[in-house]
Amino acid sequence: MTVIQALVDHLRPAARPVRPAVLRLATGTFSALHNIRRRPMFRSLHRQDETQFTPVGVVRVLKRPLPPRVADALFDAAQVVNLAATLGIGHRVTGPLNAALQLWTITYRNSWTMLLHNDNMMTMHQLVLGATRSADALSVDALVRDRTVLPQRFDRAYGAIPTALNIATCAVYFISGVAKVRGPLGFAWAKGDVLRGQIAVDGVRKDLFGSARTEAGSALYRQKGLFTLLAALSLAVELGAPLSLLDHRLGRLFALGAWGMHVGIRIVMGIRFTYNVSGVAYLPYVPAGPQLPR
Amino acid sequence: MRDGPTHPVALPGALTTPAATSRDLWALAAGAAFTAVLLSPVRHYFNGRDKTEQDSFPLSTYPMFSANRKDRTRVPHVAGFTADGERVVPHYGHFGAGGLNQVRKQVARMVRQGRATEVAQRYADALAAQRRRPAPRGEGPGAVRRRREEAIVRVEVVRSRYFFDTYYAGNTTPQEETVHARADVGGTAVAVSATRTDPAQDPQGPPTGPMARSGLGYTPPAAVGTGNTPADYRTEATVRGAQEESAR
Repeated sequence: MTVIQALVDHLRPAARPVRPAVLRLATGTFSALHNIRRRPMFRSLHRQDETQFTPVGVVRVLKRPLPPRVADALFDAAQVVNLAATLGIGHRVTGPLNAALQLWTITYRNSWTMLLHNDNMMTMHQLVLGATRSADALSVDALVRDRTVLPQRFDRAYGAIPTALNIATCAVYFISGVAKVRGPLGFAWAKGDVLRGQIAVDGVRKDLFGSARTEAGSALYRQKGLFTLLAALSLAVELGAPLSLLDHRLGRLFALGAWGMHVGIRIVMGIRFTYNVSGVAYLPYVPAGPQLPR
Repeated sequence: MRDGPTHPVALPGALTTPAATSRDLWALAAGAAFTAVLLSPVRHYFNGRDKTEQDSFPLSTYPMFSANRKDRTRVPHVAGFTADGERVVPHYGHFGAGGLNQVRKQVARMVRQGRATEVAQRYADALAAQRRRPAPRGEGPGAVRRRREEAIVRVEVVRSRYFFDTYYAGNTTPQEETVHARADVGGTAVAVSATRTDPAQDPQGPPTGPMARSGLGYTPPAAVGTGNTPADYRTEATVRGAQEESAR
């Protein structure tokens, strides 16, 4: 077997369409619930002081914010199209359209002085799922075309989709890891002092803005040794993320480590990476359906 | 393997994966390009640019948790005061939507831009408007917060300095605080330029801070008027100098 054949077999295994379909349903449903719950916040955001508008990414095409009603309409359209794409209705159109609308609305949400980092992975996953054949099973399209929601054919295109999603996941963690070791302390970041300082400043800020720092964060502040352990584990998960693409067992180990890291952040800092904590972000590491053996 | 983009041919009974085709090679190339795009923000950690300024969405530099805070922080924020002078923190929602961190960034940016009076005015107006609405009953967090905020008569836009060890030991008074603007609730904001310090706290930090950890001991601040001059303080720079001297 050639290297190319091995690479293709590993990254693009011949799988059934149910494999990406499960991911489309999970990510689309999560996004629908997450965004509909945030709708009042988005509407308030669209009505903010114009001087706070600092466009990023694709929203840089704008010099000033959209009229609030237009921004509201785009947000609502994104939710309707997301529903259609998730159900697999006309996915060849609604998939890419949903990808574009999700990218626009979430980028617009991040264009008000503060760049948040908890929607990046979900948005990237939706871009991949919208631009690929993720609705050839468990969809209205499949029912109409194949008279079944579970077509039994195999194709490498289906096996490649979880790989693409995992590459996006790995990129997020790997860059986060590089950010830490390219900071002033380098690999000494793993000693935990920086992490401890971050958790400390986060608690102070919460107090000063009328929220409440977590009890766990306050209680753990004195535990310097624990921060060394947490920092070392975090760095290992982040910089080791690309290894998760090499072997499915490493992939699941990474998924467990990354999920644990976000649960820890939730408990200690009260920061909600809901897509990660829900586990949906790591579903591509547990591919559904069979694939042809090598 | 397939005869059309939307109708792949089924492979009933196929036991092994098929040989790689040119289509697979093109897909691998596309995957490599996709990976390169996703990893492209990494370049800002090697080209000397500011990772925070280069941050974007969804291709981010993910600078969170990477800045070294050391043992202290300065936080621009808004403090509320009751008629008795008690400090009550007004909720960030009085400033705007988008969550705590977004409001924090926006307030910090406006203070940097010299727009602290606008911040004070917005908080004062929001608190006044809240007061005109009927107070909620019950013991929920929102109702409790609202009752506490009812007592606020004045807000100040401040930039406060805290030492973490002191703060997490229970003393949440800022060691130093600069007041940029002030507004009575229901009144008009005015610009202010004043600094206040907590005389009980050492500006060098608490004895658990880097001074003590340096191994060179900790010199508590002398009382004002008893040789309490800048030369009496052992700063981080003088500690480093002494360490270098002893190493030589």
